Amino acid sequence: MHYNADTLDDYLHGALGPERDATIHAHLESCAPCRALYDEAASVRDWLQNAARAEELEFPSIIKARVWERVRELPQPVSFADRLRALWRPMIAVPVAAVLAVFVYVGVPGIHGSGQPAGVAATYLLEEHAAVASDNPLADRGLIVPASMVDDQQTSGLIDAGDTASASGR
Amino acid sequence: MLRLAAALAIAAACMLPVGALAAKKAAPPDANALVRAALEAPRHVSYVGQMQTIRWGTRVASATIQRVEHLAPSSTRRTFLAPEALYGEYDITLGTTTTKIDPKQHRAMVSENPSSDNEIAMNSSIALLVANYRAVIGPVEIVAARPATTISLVNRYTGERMMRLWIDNVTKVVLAKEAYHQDGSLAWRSRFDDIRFTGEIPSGIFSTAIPSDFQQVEGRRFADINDDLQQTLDDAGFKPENPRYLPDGFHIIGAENSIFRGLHNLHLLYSDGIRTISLFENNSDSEPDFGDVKPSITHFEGHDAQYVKDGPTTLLTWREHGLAFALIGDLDLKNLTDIAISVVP
Repeated sequence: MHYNADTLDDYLHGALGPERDATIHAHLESCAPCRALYDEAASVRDWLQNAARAEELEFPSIIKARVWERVRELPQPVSFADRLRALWRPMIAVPVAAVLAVFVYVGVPGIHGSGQPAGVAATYLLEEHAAVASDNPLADRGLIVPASMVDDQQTSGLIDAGDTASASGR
Repeated sequence: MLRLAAALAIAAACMLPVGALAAKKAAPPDANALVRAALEAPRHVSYVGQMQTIRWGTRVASATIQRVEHLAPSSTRRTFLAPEALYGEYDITLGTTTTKIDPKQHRAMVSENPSSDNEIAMNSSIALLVANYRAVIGPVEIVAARPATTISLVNRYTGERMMRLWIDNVTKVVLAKEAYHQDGSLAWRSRFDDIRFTGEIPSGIFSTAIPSDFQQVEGRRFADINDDLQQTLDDAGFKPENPRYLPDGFHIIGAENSIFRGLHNLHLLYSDGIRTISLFENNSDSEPDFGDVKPSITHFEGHDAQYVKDGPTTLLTWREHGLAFALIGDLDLKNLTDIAISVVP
């Protein structure tokens, strides 16, 4: 009796139940044809993993920076208030409230936040400047930013079209 | 109106000395006319070609190669061929609207820039250019297998060559141009590797139809640079500050108000015909958000300031008198700092 390639693939990826896994494990010890088929599947898996790793590219730091900026701008999946409500159980609510009250009372630095409002994104300023500078007929047309480097994808990801609006009454 | 008035005033002021000197020692008679013809050529000449652009920063350079298809007067498609990360991306500009297509990510973005196809702005730029730069004709050189007349644009105040153009002898299209820093080093260069002049470009090239499976992202709607400076200043929502010092030849050419994340920003724009300076100010008194980019620190008049360089462009930011300021331009840090010092003396 021999196992087919699909079954050995499932075994290779740990997708079988414990009993069947053990049976095939024992079988491979003594069945050369099944062992060869298994080794072949394993080598294909290893090759694919190595190829995937080889194709991994390091993003330029500016791209990472702007991706992170976008991530930070995304709405939080669970709000702070929701987390507070989840904690609002009698067993812990009272001591937590007491600790918070003490913190507020003694005015621990940081309890009120930094107090420093977020400023304008530097990339917003650079993009505004590039747009008006490129109106000059002698401008560097390389200032034009390609699509993948604008908005929520890559390097200009700090810019959120929804956050910007003209107020000049066009 | 400000642009027009400035253009006329500068052109008139420029005529006097030029006229007075004309009898004794005139610049080559057709140099300015050639520059004007070159700047206006894309409005009536169509072409297809491949262009490379290189921008030099302090230590590194970045380059792109684009295929350019231009149908006069105002339809242009630029398709990126290099670097590999941008390969296949393209943008199509029809008048004031630019559609950027990213086929890899199935994404499209439409932006609007009402100032980009403004004839008055074009005339203002030319007037400033003539007022501030002397056009000097050089030898004919070959670019993209075509004879081109070289023109150096020399700053009338400093005597420094700030830009060099290679103008096609027949069509007057600019085949190559180089911009220089004040120390003479190269800031950026664009150059056609090959070019063919033809109006027979399939209309599909300029189709901005977005495939149904593409995500359409709302692009930027750039504010129209307002010519009514006083009205824009009045609308800023705070008492704006203006620089008392600008490098020779720079004039204010416009202003706009915009809103970013609820912050009102006043954008004042200055130009000398080639270079552009932006001064942004708002009353948030907050540090700009540099993301993960680490700005360098500098100091002037007791202020801590931050700056970053993006190729030949420098961004300098500081806070003063409850206002947050940002200066941007293709000038060195010292020049920008001199301007910054004069904003609130």
